[in-house]
Amino acid sequence: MTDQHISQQRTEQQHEYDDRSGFIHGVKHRLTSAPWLARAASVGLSSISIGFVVLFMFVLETGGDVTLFTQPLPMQLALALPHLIAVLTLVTTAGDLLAWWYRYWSLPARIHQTALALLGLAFCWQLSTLGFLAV
Amino acid sequence: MPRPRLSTTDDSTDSATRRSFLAGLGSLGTVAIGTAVGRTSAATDSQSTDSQPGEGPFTNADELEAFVDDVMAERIGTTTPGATVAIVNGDAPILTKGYGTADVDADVPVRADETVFRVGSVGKLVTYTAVMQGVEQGVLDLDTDVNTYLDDSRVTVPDTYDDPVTLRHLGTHTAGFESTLDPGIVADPDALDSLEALLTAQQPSRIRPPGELVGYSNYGAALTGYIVAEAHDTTFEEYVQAEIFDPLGMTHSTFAQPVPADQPGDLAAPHVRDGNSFLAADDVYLNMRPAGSLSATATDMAAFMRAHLGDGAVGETRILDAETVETMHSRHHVRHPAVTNWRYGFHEYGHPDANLIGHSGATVNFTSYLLLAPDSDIGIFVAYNSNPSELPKAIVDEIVAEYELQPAPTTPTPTSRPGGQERAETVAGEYSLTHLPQSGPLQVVDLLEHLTVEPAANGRLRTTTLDGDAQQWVEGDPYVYEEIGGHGVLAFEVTDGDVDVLNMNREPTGVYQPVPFHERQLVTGGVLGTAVSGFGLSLAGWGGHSAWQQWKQYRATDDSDMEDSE
Repeated sequence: MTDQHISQQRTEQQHEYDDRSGFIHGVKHRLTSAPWLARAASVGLSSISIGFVVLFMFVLETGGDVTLFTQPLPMQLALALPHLIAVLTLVTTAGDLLAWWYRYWSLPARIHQTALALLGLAFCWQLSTLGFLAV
Repeated sequence: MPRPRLSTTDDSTDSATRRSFLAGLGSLGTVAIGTAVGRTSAATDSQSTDSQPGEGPFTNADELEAFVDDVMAERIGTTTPGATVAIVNGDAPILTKGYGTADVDADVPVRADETVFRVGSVGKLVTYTAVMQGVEQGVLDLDTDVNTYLDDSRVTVPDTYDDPVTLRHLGTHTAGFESTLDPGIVADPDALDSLEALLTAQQPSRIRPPGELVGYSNYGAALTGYIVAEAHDTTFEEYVQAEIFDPLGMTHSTFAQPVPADQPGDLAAPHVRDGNSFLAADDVYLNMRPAGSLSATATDMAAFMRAHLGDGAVGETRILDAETVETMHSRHHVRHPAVTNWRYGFHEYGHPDANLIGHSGATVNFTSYLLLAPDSDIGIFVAYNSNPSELPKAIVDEIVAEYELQPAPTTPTPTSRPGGQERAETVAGEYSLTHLPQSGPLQVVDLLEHLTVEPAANGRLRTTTLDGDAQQWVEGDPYVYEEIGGHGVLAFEVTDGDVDVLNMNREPTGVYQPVPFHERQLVTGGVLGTAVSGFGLSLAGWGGHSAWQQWKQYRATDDSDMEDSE
C-alpha cells in the first residue's frame, strides 16, 4: 500500500467521522432545542391523533365489534394511543407557553402552535369523556 | 377447522347492527335498531314435533305451525341462516321446529331436538331458577347480604353503601354495579378462568345504592351463579346439571364451554352477514358463564318453559314448588307502575297489564328470546344462529299479536290536565342508559345510544336516536307519555322541575338519566370533528410548506449552478 493510498484512506475515515459527528451533534442540538421539541410534539400530536382515529375505525371495520372485547394486538395498539396523545398534548402546550415567553418563531407560527395545543386539549377532554384515557 | 373471519361493512344497516350488538351485549337483547333486509320466501327443511293442542289461544296446532312457518319463511336466508322455535301450551310442547341451516358450510338443517343453539342471557333464567331452588330449601335468602354466602371465597362485595347487595338485587339488576358490557368474552377457550378468579379480578365499582335503579349487569348474574355454587358446595355447572337439566330431561343443555364433544346434539355454527349471504364465524366464549354460556335445543327450552308454566313440575318431575314459582313470577322491583318492571330474573314484556314475562339473549353471533304468558299457560322460545338487526323478539312479537296474548294498542287519549307544553319542555333533553358503561373504551357505546327528547306540538314529545329512529308520544297522565300505535310508554320522574330518570317500557334493562351538556352527542361529535380536521389541516399545511421550501431551494441551487457554468 502506497503512502498516497494511506493518506486517501485517512481522509475518507476523517470525512466519515466528521459526518457521524455532525449527525450526532445535530441530533443532540435538536433534542436540546426547545423550539424544535415543541414543533415535533405538535407534529406528533396531529399525526398520532389522526392515526388513532384511523386505526381504531379500521380495526372495528375489519375485525368487527368483538375486537372491543377480545382486544387483539391492533386494538391494543389503538387503545394505547390516547395515552400517547395526552403526553404529546402536554408537551405541545408547554412548548406553546415557552414559544410565547421566549418569542420562538414568527407570530403566525406561534398562533398555529396555540391552535394545535387547544385542539389537543379539546381532543383529550373528549377522549377522557369517552373513556379512552381511563387508567 | 378455522372459519372465515367476520367482516363488516359500513352501510347503515350494519351500523345499526353494531349499536344493537353492543347495547345488546349489555342488556343481552334490546329492541332491535334498524330495519330488516328484504324478505323472500324460504323453504323450511327441518322436522317438526307437534303435539295435541291444549286449551287457550292455540286451539289449532296446524294453524299455529302454518303461521310460524310463514313468519319464519320471511326471515330464513335473509335475516338469519337458521332458527329454532319452541312453543308450549301448558304442560305440552305444541310446536318445536327448526328452520333453515345450522351451518352454511356444511348445509346441515336445523333440528329442534338435535341442533344446539347458544342462547346467551336466556340462560340467566336457569341461574335465577337455581337461586329459587336454594330459597325453597332454605339455603339461600333473597334479602340477606350476599357476602354471607362468600365466607370461604376470595370474592367479596365491598361495603360502598350502607345497604348490602342481596340476591333480590342481583335478580332484578338493581345491585348498582357499574356496567362493563363485556361478559368476559374470549376468543380462546384456554383463556376461560375460574368464576372465583374472574369475579375477583373483574369486579366493577358499585356506583348506585342497591335497590334504587335498574342497570343490567352480567357481573351480577355471574355472581349469582357463583353464590349458588358456593351455597351448595359444588360448581355452578354441576349444580344446574344435577338439579335442573337432568330432572327436566334437558339432555342437550350445558353451560360448559366449549360444548363437550360427547354432549348429545350438534352445536349450530354462529354466522355473520356477508353481503346477501352468511358466513360461518368463529365462536367466542363467555367467562361469566352463569350470565350467558348456556347452549340448548328448542326441545330442551320447551321443557324448561313447561316447568315454569306447570307450577314447577313437568309430569312427575318437580324442580320448584308451586309457591316458589309464584314468588319468582311476582314483581320484585318496580321501576314505575306504567312501564315494564322486574319479576325475579324475568322482566315484563309489552303492555304493563298483560302479565307477560320474558328475557332476551345474545352472544356475539347468536340471539334468542323467551316469553312466558303465565295467565294463558303459553311459552315461546326463538333462537337464531346469527345476530341481525331484527332480533328473534320480532318473531315473538308477531305471535303475541296474532294470538292476542296482550291487549291491542289503542290510540292514547291526551291528558286534560293543563300545562302539557311546559311539562314537555321540562323533560326535553338528552338521556343515557344506566346499563351502558360509564368508563373505559366501551363508553363510546353509551354515546351512540343516547336518546334525544324534544317537545312537539300540543304537548306531545318527539324522541330520536342517532340512527334516525324517531317516535311521537302523547301525554296520558302528567309526565307519562304513550306511543301512538304501540305499547311504548315513557314515564318521567321529576323532582322540583328536574328529571331524575326516564323509564321506557321497551327498555326494561335500565333507565335513562339526563346527560350533562358536555357529554351530549353534538358537543362530543363537534369537538372530535373539529380537532381531527384541525390536525389534518395542520399536517397538510406543514407538508405543503415543506414542499414549497424544498422547491425554492431546488430552484435556487439550479439557478446558482447555471450561473457557475456560465
